[in-house]
Amino acid sequence: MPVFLYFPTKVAPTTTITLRASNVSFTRKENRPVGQTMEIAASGREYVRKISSNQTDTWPMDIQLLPSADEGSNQGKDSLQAFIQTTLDYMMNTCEVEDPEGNLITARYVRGLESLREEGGAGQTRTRAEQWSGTIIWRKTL
Amino acid sequence: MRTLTPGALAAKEARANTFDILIESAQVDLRYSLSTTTAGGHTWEQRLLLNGLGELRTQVEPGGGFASATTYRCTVIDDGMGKSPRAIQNAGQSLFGADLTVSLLFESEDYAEKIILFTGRILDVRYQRRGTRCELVATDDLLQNDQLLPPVIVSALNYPQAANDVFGAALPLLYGSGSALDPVPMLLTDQTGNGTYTIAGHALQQAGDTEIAVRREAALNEGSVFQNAVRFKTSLAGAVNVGAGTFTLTRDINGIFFGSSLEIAIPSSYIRNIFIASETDVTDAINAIDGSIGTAALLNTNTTLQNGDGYGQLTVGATFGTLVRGRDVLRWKVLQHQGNSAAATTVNARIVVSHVGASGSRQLAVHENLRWYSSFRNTELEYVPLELELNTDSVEVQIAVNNEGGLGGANDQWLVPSVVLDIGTYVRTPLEQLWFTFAWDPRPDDGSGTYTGTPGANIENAADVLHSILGQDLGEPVDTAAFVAARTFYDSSWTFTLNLEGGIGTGWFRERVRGREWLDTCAKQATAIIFRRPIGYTIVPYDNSVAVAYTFDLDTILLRAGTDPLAEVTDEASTFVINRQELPGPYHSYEVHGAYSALQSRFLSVDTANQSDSTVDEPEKSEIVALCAQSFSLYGQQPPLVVEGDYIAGREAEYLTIHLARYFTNKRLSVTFETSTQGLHLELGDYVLVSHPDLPISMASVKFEIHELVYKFLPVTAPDGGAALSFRVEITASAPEMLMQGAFEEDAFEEDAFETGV
Repeated sequence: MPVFLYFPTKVAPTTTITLRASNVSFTRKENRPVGQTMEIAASGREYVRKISSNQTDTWPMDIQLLPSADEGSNQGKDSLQAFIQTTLDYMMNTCEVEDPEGNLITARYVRGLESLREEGGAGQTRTRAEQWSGTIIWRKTL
Repeated sequence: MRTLTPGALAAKEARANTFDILIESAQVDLRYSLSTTTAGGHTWEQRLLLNGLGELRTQVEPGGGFASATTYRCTVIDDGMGKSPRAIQNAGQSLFGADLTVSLLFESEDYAEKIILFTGRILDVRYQRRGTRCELVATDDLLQNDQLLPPVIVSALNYPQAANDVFGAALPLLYGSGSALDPVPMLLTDQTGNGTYTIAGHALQQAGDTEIAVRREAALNEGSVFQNAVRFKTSLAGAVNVGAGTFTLTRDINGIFFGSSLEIAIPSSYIRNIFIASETDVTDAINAIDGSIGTAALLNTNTTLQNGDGYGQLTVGATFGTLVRGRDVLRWKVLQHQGNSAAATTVNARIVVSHVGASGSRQLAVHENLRWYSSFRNTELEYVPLELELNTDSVEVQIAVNNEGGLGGANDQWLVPSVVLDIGTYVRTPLEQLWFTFAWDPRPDDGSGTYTGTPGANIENAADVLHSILGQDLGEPVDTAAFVAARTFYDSSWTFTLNLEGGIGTGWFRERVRGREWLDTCAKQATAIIFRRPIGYTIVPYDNSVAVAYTFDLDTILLRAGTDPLAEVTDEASTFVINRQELPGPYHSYEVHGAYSALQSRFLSVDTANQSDSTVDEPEKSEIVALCAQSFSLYGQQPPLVVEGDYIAGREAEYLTIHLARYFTNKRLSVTFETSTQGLHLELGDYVLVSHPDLPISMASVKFEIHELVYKFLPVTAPDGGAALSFRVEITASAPEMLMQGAFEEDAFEEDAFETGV
């Protein structure tokens, strides 16, 4: 199952980016409670307070050898870049990110577009690989 | 003590709970939270910053007063989108003056059960960091709208007939229950322009002798203003139409005039106008001023001696009484005359006015070579101070007119002008400087029973007065339930009702003053505190018999925020601090000055208590003197605590003296500590017990009264390394120190001695 990026939401009329799962992986997701503290009383008794039962989810999206151009129903780096630059206006708007397992979060682009690097070309006839690798960080919005 | 729902009570006590901070302005649909996106059916945006929530601090002075709340500042993310401050302002809604609440909402509770920590108004919006941040500055309602009282100002709009001098003056407010108020400055204005006058909006209660004090000097509030006060007594009986909040001054007391300034004269019943009619000759040359029988004049009065030939004696009537001797002014005025215009230039007149008293005759004024026609008509000649001494004193007037033989010769006919000769006391004074003593109506209820429970009843109970100032004059919401409880407390908890009714004639007024300042003074005299609850301002009388709201111990007194949970717990890390220096006292001598007289600029009564005696009646006298003696023996000579109680006298002033003595005779010991959500239900004035190893064991059962509450939002590093928010309640409370219990009689230090209301 590919990776989907929906804007503005999955159900409303939407702009969707579909990435081939073999090019994208979410293997480094981080979950953290929102603002959890431990208050210590003079007796040593501990109180746990947290701001929310929500979690702060950060989804680094590792991209490997993503083609520049769209290929069939799967979209490439150029479309992904346009989606982030234009549709999302970087951090300004949120979208929904659906991973290959079907997990879905409402996320905000944080950074990473600048980290995409083109793989080196192979052979004498192809000076450009037109395949991109890097990591884009998404963070769940509350 | 704040009333919390069972769910919120359980959540605040829980060892682990989850909460959110909500900042909300319903008026402009501004709703920000840390994490909540939907609460109460509203949409919440996550614009709050952990390090931008600031702190909320509210405090009240020990012993009573109006609680102050410091300005609250919070920084929020402002990207110009959604419901950010800039977007709201761009949409044409002003944030300035909009309501703002800061609440804590437990995740387990509904939005309606949020715990409101702050209620105020936005005072300022400061955009920062090139438009990515915005600081919202909010204050207490009364700070944001710091009104001067009394609120009604005389203007051309509401008092079209008022003198220019008084535009901008305030109508005084009168409280109390009496009917013989000491002179106060009040406006006498013709509100409708038809001769119907009201005094400061208060109706005269009864006809009869009314004393009018006229203050001639300077502005209000000057210490010496009454040195030159002139007081008259005049009977308004028969001239006063009592009722409907107005009275009418009829022409019968035409000594009172209304113009650009108010001119008051003793009614001229003891002397009449003198009309000089036409005459050609006088019959007695001796009485003619020039000794010639050709001199023409006739004094035609109907009450004074006159002999018809240019001589009149105006006797001061017996009704003049003994009131105003030495302060009168004589005035004479030519009203009109007729004459042969051709002869006018040839007619000379002469007027001589003399005062004839026990010590002989004294010439007051001489006017000669008066050209009747050209220079004399409708002219006020002179005001001359007239020193009347006895009822038999008189004023003599001689008027002579010479025919110098112009056209028509010596037999020309002419008419001698009519001359008005008044004697009386004339004082010109702007309306605002009039001070009246009279039977008066105090300020009544608004008609709905809002303040007193009885429509139309007088506002005098201390809670009524505070409610009236807050609700009626300042337009602020009042916590009705607390008001009713306070009213009942003032009414029935003691052997008397504590009224803020002033001392003189049980009434008082207040000149222009800031509303908060006024409330603070009133609250102190009523031994109450006033603070802001979400539903309105709350009046809480001092009552040491109320139940303890919470007991703090080592389990609920926190270590400093951000403490590493694995680190050793040390004393240095505790937030618990004892302070013996900050609070006022101890005192062993008290003075309560009461019954303030504005006319005399002084307090007419003083209640004292010290180590040797007290003006307070038994049974409290023995207790108070004993307390003072103990304090004196323990702490030595101290300056007295002097309180100015403008609005109290008699039993009320005594009660304040007793309250102060009980409150301040022992040195008060103050503690400050931080607790977690356990402190959420506490309010100013609540009592708590504090159990801590640093305190003497004898203090464990002593009620600490809360003077200051601080809600702290501390950005800290969470145990997992992430950013987190530590919410804490810092409490400052004090109690009478019990360090040396064995040194005194035990009775005096039993808690009952401090709990007793009266």
